[in-house]
Amino acid sequence: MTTDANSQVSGGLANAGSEPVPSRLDRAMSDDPSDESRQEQNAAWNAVSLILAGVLFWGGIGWLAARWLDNQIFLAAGVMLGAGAALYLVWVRYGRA
Amino acid sequence: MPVALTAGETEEFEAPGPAEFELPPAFEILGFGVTKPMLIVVAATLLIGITLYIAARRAAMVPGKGQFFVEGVYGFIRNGIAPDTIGREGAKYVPYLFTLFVFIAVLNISGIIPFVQYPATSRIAIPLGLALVSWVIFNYVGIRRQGFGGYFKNMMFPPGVPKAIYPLLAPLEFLSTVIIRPVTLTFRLTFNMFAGHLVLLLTILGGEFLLFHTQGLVGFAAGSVSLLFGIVLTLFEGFIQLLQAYVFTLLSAIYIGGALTHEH
Repeated sequence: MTTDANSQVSGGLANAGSEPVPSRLDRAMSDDPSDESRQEQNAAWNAVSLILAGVLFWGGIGWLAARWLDNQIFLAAGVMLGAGAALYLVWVRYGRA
Repeated sequence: MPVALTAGETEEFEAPGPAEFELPPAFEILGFGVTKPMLIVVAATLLIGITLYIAARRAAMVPGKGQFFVEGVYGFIRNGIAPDTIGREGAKYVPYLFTLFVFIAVLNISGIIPFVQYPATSRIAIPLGLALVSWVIFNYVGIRRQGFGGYFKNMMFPPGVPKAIYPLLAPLEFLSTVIIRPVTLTFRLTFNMFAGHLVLLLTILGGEFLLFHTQGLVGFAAGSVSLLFGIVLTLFEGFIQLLQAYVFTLLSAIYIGGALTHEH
């Protein structure tokens, strides 16, 4: 068990010694890749918080308006406006070519 | 929801709740109560510091098991998260991301370590503090890179949008980046650990109650199943704890990467 692991490790090191295998970070540093794939991953996470922000912000303003004017339609309108604006923003940021 | 388990005449199962997390101080220092999560944080810090110091000091060309493990975790950040999210500038942030990952992972895992069995990260102050550190870093990095005005301009006013729509969109980007990000970082970690611990308490304490405080075959069978299920859930919880440490670290890295490059 242990000898197996050790031989594997030393084998890997021997290879690295003769011809250093660049790590992914080294490659990323030298190649200067386009940010495409990275941006896609970031987009997935950021989209959630953008939509949350949309619904909370405009939904919140709609809620205040609904209380002030005593008409629940403003709350519904605010939530939908916020969700729509956030979706549009996600498209602007990440959807366009 | 009170469950009628009518075996022991006077005994009734008390389901664990949020109160289980409110422990009295273990001892006091100058009137300042020191609680279990605080002790876990101190112990975890010492443990991580000493382990990493030993691993680094005894660094050998042919690594032993310990060094192999530590280097594996380090490589996971150095060659995985950092280049994948930040790119070629990632190396600079590897120390922070590595520290963050290891610290959160150990504090999470404290929830399933026998006799400790308390996820320190289920107390909101700890994830909140870490989220604020990440928040300061990514905003600072963004402001330094793009200038104060430029950072907020790039954040709030994406190009190629009709000017009339900006009032609709600008608050959302600001809210999303400045407020929602740290809040979701905090809540995601805290309540994953909170809920996971509660589920473990429920299955294990419930199983114990059924097994030892009720009579009859049904209680015995249900209790055994519940306890076995508790063991499976404990393993699953360990997976969740590592996953949540990864997610927190990954998101911190994504935020730093996003602040360094304007995303458009």
